[in-house]
Amino acid sequence: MGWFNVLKGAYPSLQQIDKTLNVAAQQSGIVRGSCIYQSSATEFSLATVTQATDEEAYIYFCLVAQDDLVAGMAGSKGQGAPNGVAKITGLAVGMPMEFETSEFITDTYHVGQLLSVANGGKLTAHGSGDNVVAQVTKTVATRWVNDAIAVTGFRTGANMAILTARTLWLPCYTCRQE
Amino acid sequence: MPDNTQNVPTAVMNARILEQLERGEVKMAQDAATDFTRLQVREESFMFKILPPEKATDDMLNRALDERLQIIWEVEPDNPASKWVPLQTIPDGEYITGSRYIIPFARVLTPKFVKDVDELRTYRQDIRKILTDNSIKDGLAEIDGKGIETVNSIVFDAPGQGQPNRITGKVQWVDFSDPLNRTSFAEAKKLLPRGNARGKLRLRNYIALMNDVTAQDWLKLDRLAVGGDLAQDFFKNGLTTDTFFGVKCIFTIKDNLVPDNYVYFFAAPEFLGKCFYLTDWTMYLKKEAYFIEMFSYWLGGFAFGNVAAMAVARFNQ
Repeated sequence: MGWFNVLKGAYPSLQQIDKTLNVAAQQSGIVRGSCIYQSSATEFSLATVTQATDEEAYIYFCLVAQDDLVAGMAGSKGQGAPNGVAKITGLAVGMPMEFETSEFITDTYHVGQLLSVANGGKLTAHGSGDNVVAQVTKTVATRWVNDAIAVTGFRTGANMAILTARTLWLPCYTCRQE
Repeated sequence: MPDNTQNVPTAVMNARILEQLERGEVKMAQDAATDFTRLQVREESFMFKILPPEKATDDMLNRALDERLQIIWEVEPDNPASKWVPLQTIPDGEYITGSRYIIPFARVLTPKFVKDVDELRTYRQDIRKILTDNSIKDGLAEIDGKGIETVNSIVFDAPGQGQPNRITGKVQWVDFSDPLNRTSFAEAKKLLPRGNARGKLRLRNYIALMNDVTAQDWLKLDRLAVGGDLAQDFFKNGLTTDTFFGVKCIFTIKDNLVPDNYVYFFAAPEFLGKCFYLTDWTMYLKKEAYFIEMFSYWLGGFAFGNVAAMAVARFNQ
């Protein structure tokens, strides 16, 4: 289970800007906090390095794991994730908020550093030519998270490495001919 | 809560609601809209007639290691058949194992509708209807749509029509070249009572579902097929019964969900599954200056514990 928590910002609230869509076929590993993007009019997919340089791949933070029962019930068949297409909600990265996440590539981050997306829907250090999705506001720290590993070994929490950042959507726009 | 406002004239009801909104008594207007929505959804949802929703209470929820909402329901244990034996024989051993199924919960949520309250003043029809109509349509589409999608994923899970279902081994999907008539319907009606190759999963028809276009085929039956009185009645008054061969039929107008010539058969709810709700249809209404915003939601879930308890017959194929 991934950890994603908004410290400041319009979540959870009626003002939050979100979108709920089906998970695209053959997608796996989408957890809470994963960076996802709209891969079609009706589907979300996990972001990869390809989306880091695609200025049209607007990023969302996933709020519910794709194998969660609720995602299954909300999905197109709704008998739990194994027998239905899971439906997940993504929180738009364009919304101003400061957040904590466990979904990042292990690295040494510094405050002010820009972040982009990497394989597995994780945040990573921004490189030239990449979209910016967030900016680090606090270096990686560990904190106890309830329900971090809910079933494995029957523990209901864990110390997790958490990166704190604020959302910052700057698509790396390059003039291109459509 | 029952809707006690059915006999109140529309103009009076509209004035009352506008006055409530004017005075900031949003809660009262909200309650009126909630009652109206609940009533309409209950009346118009065919899934709720097939699998009636039951109110779940917190003590029915099964606790898991996380905060997920779920109810675990039991399936009747299967048992091998009895047999004739000579004397001096003892019974074969069989350890009873039952299985259970999960009814997961999720929320059905309509869009958030916004309206300038002063624009409502000119309406002559029931304002509650204006406010709730979209919510009801959205809610019904979601619940009935998901229900029939789940049913389709079960009944069509076979190599072809007339073939045993991959899960149950029972034939749950048959196509007929004939239109819906006395003979073809009687044949279709045999799907649920007929068991699988092991003689298991024999069920009784409880309700049939078809759209109201398909239902018109009943009117083609002449006096030889339905008897003189009924043929005359059909001719004069249209479809005057919803029970055919002892099976009650639901006629839906939602032909996008139940296509023409499709008839679904379902066993009684106790043999079919469970539908629970934790929060019944609720209308949230908020007034800010002269804008009102509203959306409605329902928190519930359903599961077909017995996937053999449904079948589909397609006519004119």
